[in-house]
Amino acid sequence: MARATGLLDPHQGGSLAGLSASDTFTTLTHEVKTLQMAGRKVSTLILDIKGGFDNVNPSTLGGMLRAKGVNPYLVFWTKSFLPGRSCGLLYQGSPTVFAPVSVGTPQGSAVSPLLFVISISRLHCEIPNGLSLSYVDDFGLTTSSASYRRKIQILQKEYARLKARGARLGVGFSVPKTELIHWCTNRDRNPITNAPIHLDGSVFMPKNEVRWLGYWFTPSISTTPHFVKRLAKAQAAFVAVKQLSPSRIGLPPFLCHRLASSLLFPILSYGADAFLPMVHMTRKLSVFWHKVQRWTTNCFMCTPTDILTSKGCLPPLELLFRYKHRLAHLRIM
Amino acid sequence: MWTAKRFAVAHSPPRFPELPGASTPPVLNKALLDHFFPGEPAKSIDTFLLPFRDCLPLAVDEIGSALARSSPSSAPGPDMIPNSVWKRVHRVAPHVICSILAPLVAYGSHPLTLKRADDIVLHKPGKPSYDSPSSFHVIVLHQTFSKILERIMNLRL
Repeated sequence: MARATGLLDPHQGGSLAGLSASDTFTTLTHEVKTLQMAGRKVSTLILDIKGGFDNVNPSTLGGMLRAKGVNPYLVFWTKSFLPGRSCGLLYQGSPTVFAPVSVGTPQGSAVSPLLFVISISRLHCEIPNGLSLSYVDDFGLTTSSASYRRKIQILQKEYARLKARGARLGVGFSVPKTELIHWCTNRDRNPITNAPIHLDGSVFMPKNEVRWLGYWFTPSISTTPHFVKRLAKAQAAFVAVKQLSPSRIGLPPFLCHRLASSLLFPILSYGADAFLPMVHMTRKLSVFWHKVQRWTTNCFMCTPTDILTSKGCLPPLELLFRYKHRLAHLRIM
Repeated sequence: MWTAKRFAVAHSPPRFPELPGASTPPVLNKALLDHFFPGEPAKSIDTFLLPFRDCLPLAVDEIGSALARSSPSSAPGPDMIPNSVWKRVHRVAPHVICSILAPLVAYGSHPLTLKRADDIVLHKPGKPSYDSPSSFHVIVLHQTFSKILERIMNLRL
C-alpha cells in the first residue's frame, strides 16, 4: 500500500521487499555512469540522519498517512502505536520498574523501519541532472555539471534545501559521517580534483575510498578495494573458526561445510550481487576459498583443487559469484 | 553459528554501569534513562474508540504468515512468552490469536499493555572507562504478542 499510495519516494530504499541495499547501490552506480556518458562531471555527497528514529512525530506521521488516503484504521493504529511507551532497564542490580519514555519509532519493532522511511519521504526532491537517493537513514546527493566549481555550488545549494526540509520534519544530519566523492572515468586523470565542499562551517575533502551501505567504492567505481576488504574480513573469520577444528580433532566435516557456506561465503561474497571482482582479485579470492575447502575436507595440501571442490561440496568461487550476480539481475528484470 | 562464535571468540567480562554520583539503584536507573531516552515522554492519545466499518477483517492466514516470519528462539519481552508458544497455540487452535487481535485491528488501537518492553543494558567493548552512560547501549525486547500485531500491520501498510 505504501508504494501504491505514493507514501514512499521512488528513490527511497529499505524496509520493503525489492528495495534492498544492493538495489540502492546499483541505482547510484547506474546514474553516475549515465551522467558520465553524457560528458558531465559527477559528485556525490553522503549524509547520515542523526537520531532519526527517535524523532518521529506521531501526529505528523498520521497527517502524512491521511493525506495520502490511507485507510483510517491504519492511521489510528499508527497514532496509537507510537506514543505512551514504557520500558524497564535490565542490568545487574537494576530495580524492576517501568518508566515512561520517548522513543519515536521503537527499536526492534517490525513496523518501525517502514514508519521511519514514510516519515522522511518528504526530504526527497528533484535535483536537475542529479539524484537524491536514500536507504533508510543514509542519504546520497548526486549532482553533475560541466565544471567542478559549479557542481560544488549545486551540492551546497541542495544540502541547504535538504537541511531546511529536515528542520521542518525534526531531523538533522551527522557531521562526522558526511563524505564527499568526485567520480571519474577510466580516461580521467586520478585524482581528478581535490575541490572540497563547505557545509555549516566545516570543510569536507573528497575521499579516494568511501563506504556506503557496506560497499566500498572508489572514484572510478573499481571493485578491487571492496573485495580486498571482504577478503580480509573473511580471513579473520576463518582464523577464528579454524580454532574450533584443528586437524584430526574438532568439528566433523559436515559442520565445517556448514560454517564455510553459511559464515565464510556470505562474508566473502557481500556485494557480488552488485558487481563482480576483477580477474586478478578473483584469483586471490579463489586461493582463500581453496584453503577453506581443504580445511572442510581435511585433505592434503597437494590435493588437486578440482577434487577439493567435489569432495567438499563447495563449488568454485567464480561460479558462486556469477550465480549470485545473475540472480540479482533476474530479480531487477 | 552463535554457539561456534561463543567458542571461537574470547570472552570479555561483562561490565556494569558505575556512574559517579549515582550511589543508589533508582538514581543510577534515572541517569541511564535520561541518557538513552532524553526526550519528554509522549502521552498516549486518549480517544473514544469506535470500530472502523471499512477495515479489512483479520484472517487466520495473516496470523500464520506473521508467525512464520518470527524466530522461535528470539528473546521474549517482559511477559516472558517466547514465539514458540504462540506458534504452538496457533497450530492447535488457529482462531484464538485471531479473536484476540481482531478487535485491536478493527478499532485501530495498540493497547498500553503491549507497549511495555525490556531494555537490556550492554557495554560497548573497547571503551577506556565505563563511568559514563555513553559507554553502554541498549537492546530492546518487545513482547512477542505485540510483534505479531506489528507484523500484520506492517504487511497491510
